[in-house]
Amino acid sequence: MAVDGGETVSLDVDEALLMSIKAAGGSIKCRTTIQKLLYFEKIFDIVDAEYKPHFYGPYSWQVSNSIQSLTSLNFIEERMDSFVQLDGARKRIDRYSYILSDDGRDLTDGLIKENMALYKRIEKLVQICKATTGLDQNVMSWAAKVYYILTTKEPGKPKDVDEIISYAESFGWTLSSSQLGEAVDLLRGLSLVK
Amino acid sequence: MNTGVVLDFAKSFRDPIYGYIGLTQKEIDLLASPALQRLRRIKQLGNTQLIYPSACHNRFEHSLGVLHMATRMADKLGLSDDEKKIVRYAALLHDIGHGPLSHNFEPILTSINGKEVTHEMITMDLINQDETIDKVLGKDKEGVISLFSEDNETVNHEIISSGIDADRLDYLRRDSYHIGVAYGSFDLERILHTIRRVDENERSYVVISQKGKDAVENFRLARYSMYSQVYQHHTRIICDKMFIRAIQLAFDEGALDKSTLQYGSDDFLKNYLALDDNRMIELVLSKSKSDASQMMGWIESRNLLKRGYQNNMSNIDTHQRYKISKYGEDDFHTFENAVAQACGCNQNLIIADKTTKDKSLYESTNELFRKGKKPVIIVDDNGHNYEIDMVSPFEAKRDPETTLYVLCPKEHVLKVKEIVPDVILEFTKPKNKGKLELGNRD
Repeated sequence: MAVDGGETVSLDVDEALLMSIKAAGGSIKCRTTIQKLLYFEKIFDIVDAEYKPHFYGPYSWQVSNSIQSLTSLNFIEERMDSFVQLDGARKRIDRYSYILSDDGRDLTDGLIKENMALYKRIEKLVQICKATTGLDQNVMSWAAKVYYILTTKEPGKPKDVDEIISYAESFGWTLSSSQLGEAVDLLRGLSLVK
Repeated sequence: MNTGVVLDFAKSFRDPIYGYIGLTQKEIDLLASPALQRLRRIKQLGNTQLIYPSACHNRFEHSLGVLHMATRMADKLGLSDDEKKIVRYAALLHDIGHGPLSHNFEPILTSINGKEVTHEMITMDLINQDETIDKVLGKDKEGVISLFSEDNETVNHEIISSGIDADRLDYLRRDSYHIGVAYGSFDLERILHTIRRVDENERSYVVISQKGKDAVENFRLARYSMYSQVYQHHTRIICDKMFIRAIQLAFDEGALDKSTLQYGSDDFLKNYLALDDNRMIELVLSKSKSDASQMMGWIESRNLLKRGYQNNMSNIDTHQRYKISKYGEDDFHTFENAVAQACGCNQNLIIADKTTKDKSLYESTNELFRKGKKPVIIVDDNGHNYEIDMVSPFEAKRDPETTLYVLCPKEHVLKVKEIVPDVILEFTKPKNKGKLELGNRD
């Protein structure tokens, strides 16, 4: 595995979320990116979180709660970016960014000292996601969906593109073959698929 | 699809919101069940009547309202007559698992059972096991139960449970009407006019056409205002905390018996159905000269605990704040004990807790996700779907706040205010790991 295992104790969601933002350079754009980063951290037993298939792929209510809680405690700041999507309908799209506050940085530094080995693994995972996708929420979401399908639908059995797309539809997810290609690049980078 | 057959109503009920609500004979038979009749004795808004005196409506009339609203949604979404029948049963039964003072009883059940017990779980058990309900529903029972499952991906389920479901469409307007505020008003007809169903393979889901977006914003604003002004009113929060404490003390002091409410035991449902708002209050008051009866008596006479200490958690030192954010029930009891000792007060009458207020209007997607539900979906003229938070015209900045507070009797307010910062400091020192008890300072 690119992200080595070996630790027996995993982080709680708050800790993993704060350290992930730190590892990403102090800020992460989009809630979906946070959800999917922690999903992969859960796969590697770095964080203890429950995930279920949802509208945007594997989703954890615990991560959602943690975002709200850490924001309300002023450990992370939530900022909204608006942009206009020119798809014929000219829509304004809002997207949230999460930034470690001064207090959050102080707290996270302390948490990292107590959990250095796990932080190193988060750092490595974030680096791979950043290098492969630029932490793009769409690609990370596609990758999480593909991995979820591989591990829940006849797990262990190799699947071709059409099968994966078909399984995705059973979750209400739309995946194209080109999206699947980008997803697989990330999963390969994480050594989650061959 | 809907054949347009009019339901064969055996009886109609007057309703302050809708005028008349018609019921079939089978629905009237359901209504006669003890589980549904009990809802007449459970107030829709619990302690809110201590703030808004006319908030005395009950879950029985709300259940009828949800049935009516579910029918209107079902008609619009093209459900067959058989599907509509099942949806109406589910709407009528959706709240039968509520305990005394509605949501306030859930943390109590969870605490005495050592695991989460929700009113939804009890609703399911009642539909499954109650003899009267079983007799009326017959072969339709499984269909009703399946509508409550979050794995059910149909518009039928979304009528019962979703971001814009029959429950919310009813309670916002009903609560608003009874309380005498206008916050809960929204353009119901526009929402009903613009909801659509989308069918994909085996699934179906509800969307709102672009033309209805402003009506949905109006609905969300109504919901936000009701939360801000009513459901999360600071005095109601105090009343609720006092009620929960009174019940917990009643269990500890023997006025109530924990063994009667062990979830899953043979007599659980029978014992649970025997409880309603007034019965619970009477039981707690029955053991005079107990802390429980004192606390409940204070609620009865609206002699409420005061906020001796209240602070936005963001104002507390970083590491103290993080530790307190992790506190559970036992930690807060230890904290209360330390405060009580320091100010010479009975620790049972001190309530320390933290509460988070989120601006739910602008975070509906996030809030729905937390509950495992889909966001509200807007579909444009080209058939593209957008979650509403992404296309809302409103600035959607969240500003959730977590507040730490310590409630106490009026005569201890000044002392509590003075000593709590010191208690927090001592309590969150690394070596103490949150379990330190203060000695008597006197």
